[in-house]
Amino acid sequence: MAALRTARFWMIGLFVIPPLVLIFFFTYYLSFQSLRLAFFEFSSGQEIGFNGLQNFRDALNAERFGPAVIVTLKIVAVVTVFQIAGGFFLAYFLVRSNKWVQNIGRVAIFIPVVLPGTVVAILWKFIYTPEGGLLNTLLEAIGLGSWAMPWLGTTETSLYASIAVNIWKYVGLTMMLFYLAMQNVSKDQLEAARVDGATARQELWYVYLPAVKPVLEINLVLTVLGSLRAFDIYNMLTNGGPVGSTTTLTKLIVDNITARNYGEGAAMSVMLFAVIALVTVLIRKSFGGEQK
Amino acid sequence: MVSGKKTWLLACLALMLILVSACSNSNKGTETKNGAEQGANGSNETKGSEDAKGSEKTEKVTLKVLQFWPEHEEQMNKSFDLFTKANPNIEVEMTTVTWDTIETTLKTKIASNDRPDIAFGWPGAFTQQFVDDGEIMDLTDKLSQDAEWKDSIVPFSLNFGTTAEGKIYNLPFRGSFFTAFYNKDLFDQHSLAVPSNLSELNQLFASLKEKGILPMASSGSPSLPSYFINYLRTNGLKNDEGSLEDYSKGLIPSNDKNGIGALEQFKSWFTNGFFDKNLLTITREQAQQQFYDGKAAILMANNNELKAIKEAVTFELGQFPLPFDNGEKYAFGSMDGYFVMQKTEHPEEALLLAKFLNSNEVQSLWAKETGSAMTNPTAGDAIEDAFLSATAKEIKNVNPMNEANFYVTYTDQSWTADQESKLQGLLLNKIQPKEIADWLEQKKQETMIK
Repeated sequence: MAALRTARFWMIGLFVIPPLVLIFFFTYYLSFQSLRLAFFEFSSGQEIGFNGLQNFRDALNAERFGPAVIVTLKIVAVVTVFQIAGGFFLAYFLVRSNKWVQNIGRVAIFIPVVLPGTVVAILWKFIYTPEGGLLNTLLEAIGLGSWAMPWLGTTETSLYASIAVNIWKYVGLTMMLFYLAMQNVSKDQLEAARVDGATARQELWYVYLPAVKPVLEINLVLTVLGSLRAFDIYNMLTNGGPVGSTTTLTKLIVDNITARNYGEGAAMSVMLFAVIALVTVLIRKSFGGEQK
Repeated sequence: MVSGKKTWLLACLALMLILVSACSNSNKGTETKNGAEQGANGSNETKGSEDAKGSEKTEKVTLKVLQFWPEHEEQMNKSFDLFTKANPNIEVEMTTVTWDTIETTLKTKIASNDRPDIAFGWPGAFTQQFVDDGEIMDLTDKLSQDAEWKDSIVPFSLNFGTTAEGKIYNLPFRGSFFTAFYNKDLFDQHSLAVPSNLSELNQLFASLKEKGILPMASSGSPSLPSYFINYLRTNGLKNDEGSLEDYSKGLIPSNDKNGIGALEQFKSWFTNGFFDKNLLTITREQAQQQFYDGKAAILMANNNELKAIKEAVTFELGQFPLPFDNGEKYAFGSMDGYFVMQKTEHPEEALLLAKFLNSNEVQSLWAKETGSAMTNPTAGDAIEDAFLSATAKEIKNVNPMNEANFYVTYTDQSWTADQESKLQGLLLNKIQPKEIADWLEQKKQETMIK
């Protein structure tokens, strides 16, 4: 019996310890190192000593920091509103559709979520190509040729064109979470509402919306955090340009690290981490408060 | 029951070991080996066979080389074969990675104390970071004491691997520069001549534009063709009989009249339609396609793409370096080079191989088989195709595209991204040339090692 217990102990250890070690190293140890780097000075990539909060001051005074914060906040605002609203209404549309539409719709809308960011960026680069691109060709075909433009080549449109791709890629995930929550609405509830004479809008407001509230919190956290860390699609579509109009905070951090400006890059990472932690707590608190 | 558990335990342990060993081998790139241990049929053996011949290996020296041309593995192997034939006591173990992973690979190898003896890489910032870490051997004295070695390298190309202190760490292997390829048929059809100075280049652009032909196919994404600004800047400097060396050392400010003039001229090329109006979003592939389709008359491209371009076009191809008013010729670019690691266990043998890579034997082989512009002065003669040969010989005219590669070393490169952003602003009318020139001068003064 004792031998069995020992074997079980080792068996559990064998499965638990390796992932624990990996998590400790790749998550906690490297995060701690990143925090430490933020307080050290570097020259030609070499650590030359502790310099207090200077990296944070340099980061805040960096020429591209302010614009990058504004770009990131714009992404957070636009993506959060449109992705959450879009996901909700797509889910509501599917729930009220017949099984055939539901099956096709779920897959069609969710496909972009599983596509790699690189593939999505290449695909949309073709769509946005000024000469012969799908979007401009389509606009010309329907008589709106004057609207055709280099969507990723002007400071006025590049950010919103990139945001549209971001939403297109991730709205399927938001939709799927809402859809699953809406499926939990019982037929009895809906029938009771209809017997009471509820209109479609009242049904949506008083039956479906309360049902998806817990999922709304998850969707909000995922969308806001994802937007704060926005990088891959924006970087691949425009490399942060033109004129920094799509340079996000994460892109700035990557640029600094690439240029071996480790201290400043780490300081920006720490600040971004603090904002992400704060936003997460605020969202959770606001929903927790309502539930009570 | 207990024995069943034990069996499971052993099976799991074995599985983990397999996974761990698989992971540890997954990021090593392709490894091949040349030398006396190579099979009789001349094929390369994988590293796995090395241990089997351990007794023989104790008498031999194995040099490890890290290189970044998967497409030229064959030429690399042939080069090492020539070397090992001449030096039977040495064998070469080559690791091949792609150009975009070489920096990470080398850093990982250094961190894990698995340094190669020789590594390929670019001069300038790439090399400098390893020089700062004391990882690269100073070859200045070795070259100055060995006239044969020094003479086997085109003199100007050595400047690329020279630091601000005049030390040579990176040996040039082949040139990588921008040159203008043009549609000869189109030029003949419209009776257009190759320009011999800036004024003629401007006239050529205007004539092409007038005829409804895009003068210059060039990509602007992910970065703008800033070598044009360097060209215009250098031409102005030369007209004033200024020294390129003084300019590169920061003794001539970036915001003088030539600096501002170069930016103004570059912008005027864009506003006059000499580049595609969507330059900021045009990728390299799209620019090439415009040239292949005959929509654009001139394509600025890397000399090492020449073979591929020649195969892709259906018209006769011509080439000219950007013309200077004083008649001098420059092609803007840099070098693909290599360096000897400071901590190599076999310095003598590593230096022998380093010298051999510059030899006419190796360089001619590469020139012949790849059409590359090699740094050996006579290697270009080995290329049979006259056009390829002429382009390869432009190596003697290669001038640094980036000041950072030439004598001057910057401690901070983070502003290069800002520079790109400002140049985009220039073309989109968001910022004036003088503002950019002033900013550039300020950044240079802040970050340059004097």
